[in-house]
Amino acid sequence: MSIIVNHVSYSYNPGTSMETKALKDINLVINDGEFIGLIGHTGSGKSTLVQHLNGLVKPTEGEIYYNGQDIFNSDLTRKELRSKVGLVFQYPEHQLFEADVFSDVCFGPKNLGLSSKETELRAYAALKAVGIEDEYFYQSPFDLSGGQKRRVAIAGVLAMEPEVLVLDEPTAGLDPKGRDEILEMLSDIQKEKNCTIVLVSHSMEDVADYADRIIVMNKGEVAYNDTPSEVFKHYKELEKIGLSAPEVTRALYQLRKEGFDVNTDIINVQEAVETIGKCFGI
Amino acid sequence: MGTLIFLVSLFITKNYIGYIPALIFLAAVVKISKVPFKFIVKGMKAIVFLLSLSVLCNLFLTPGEPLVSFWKLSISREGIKTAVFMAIRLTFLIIGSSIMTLTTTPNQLTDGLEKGLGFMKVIKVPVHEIAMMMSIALRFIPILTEETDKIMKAQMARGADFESGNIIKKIKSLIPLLVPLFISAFRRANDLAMAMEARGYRGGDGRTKMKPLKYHGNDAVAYIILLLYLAVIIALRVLIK
Ligand SMILES: Nc1ncnc2c1ncn2[C@@H]1O[C@H](COP(=O)(O)OP(=O)(O)OP(=O)(O)O)[C@@H](O)[C@H]1O
Ligand SMILES: [Mg+2]
Repeated sequence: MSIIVNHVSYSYNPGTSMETKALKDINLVINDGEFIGLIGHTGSGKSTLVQHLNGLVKPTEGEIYYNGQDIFNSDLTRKELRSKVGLVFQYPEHQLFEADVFSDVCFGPKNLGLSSKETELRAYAALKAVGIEDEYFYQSPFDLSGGQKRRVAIAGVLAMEPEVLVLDEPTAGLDPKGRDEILEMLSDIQKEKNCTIVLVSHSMEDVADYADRIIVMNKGEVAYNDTPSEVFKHYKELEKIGLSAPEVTRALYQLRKEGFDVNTDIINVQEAVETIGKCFGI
Repeated sequence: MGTLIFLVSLFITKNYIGYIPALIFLAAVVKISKVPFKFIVKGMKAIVFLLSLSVLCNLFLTPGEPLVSFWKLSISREGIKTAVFMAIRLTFLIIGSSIMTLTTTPNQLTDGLEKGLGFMKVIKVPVHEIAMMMSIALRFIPILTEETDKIMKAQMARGADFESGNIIKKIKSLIPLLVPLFISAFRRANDLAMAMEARGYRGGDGRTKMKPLKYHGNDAVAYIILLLYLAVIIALRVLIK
């Protein structure tokens, strides 16, 4: 049970003067139950790549397999695929359209052809999972705050109960508190549902605490694909491609350079504070 | 402006003789514009289908004395006449308008429009405002297409289906696309209005331009030629029945 991306390349407007090679020969494996952080500078092809995962875009070259089936060349229907691989777009609140929050969340499961009872049960569970209280259920989605809208939009995909949840920059444009809440919520959902999560972001800090594995994209290619602490070892190279390792990592490496014996693999802020404290005998 | 007149003139013309000045005019414009001929041919390729469809329709559906007939279809003399006529007209139309879009930026276009229609200010037509609206509208077309594409994909990820079903179902399936599209269009319009006001925009009077459109001698010549051309076409139309 996994997604395999096999030699995938993609160009926008192929054959014209405006051709853009957004992806170049991407090879990836996404295993069941993983929490993956997909990181890259603006325009590195992250959004393009995740739109391949549920068949919204067809690769110019290469194939994508979902549980061993080629997603464009097998009995697997698009609808089935999209119910298994849920994709939350960048600024998902722009896709809300119903008169009230609850019916908007029902849109996804209803499209899957579920009974109305099942649809409502799922919508209710999804709204609860993202932390929207009952009192908002029958409000217009347009009257909510930005962070709440985003949660409702995420619930809209969650209600389809996907096995793989892909989120394109779910924290873009939120304040630090809103950001932490969303990330915490995703981590809870993953633990509870045992699903796979792919989180797109351009900030290392976002994913450092939660991701099992980090995939770094640069100009349409995979630059690094490893555990967070391994990837952060390349903090100097990361800066060259417009990214920066978390401050914690940079601080620890600086300390080691100054001759302190610290463990540079630490990512968690709390642990780092303790380590640094020890260095200075606090 | 010139293009507009040219397009209108094509519709005024009712016979082949009328096309001779049009052809001369068009050829001259193509030469002056320095647009590579390849580009124009390429533009034509896109409408070959439309062109052949209109030729076929005219060919078979124009009533008249049949020349050749097989099965239920017949080709009449009048049919051939109108088919050829329409083909020429369409070709001219496309070349004419593609030259305009290839040589003129939207800004120049609206500037020209503002100036060309400037005389209407006397009768209190808000020419500047109309031109401004036009340039904003032109500017928004690519943004809206992009937005449509994005929302469509987002709804498809939620299992929406824009293709199958009967007509009522199809129209219904557009709601999840149109509502967010309108909302975002209004939001953008609102933002733009605020941004313009914040920078002190208040309509046309006393407004200067960063790149003022200056008419030179040859622009005047162009206007004269244009008017002459229009006169010839109208004269031909009136004289030759
Ligand atoms: N609809 C499109 N048409 C043409 N080119 C596009 C389109 N969408 C993206 N591109 C191009 O493809 C490349 C990759 O874009 P993509 O949106 O995947 O980047 P991204 O990593 O998601 O960036 P961001 O962090 O800004 O969201 C860019 O060079 C972009 O200009
Ligand atoms: Mg993106």
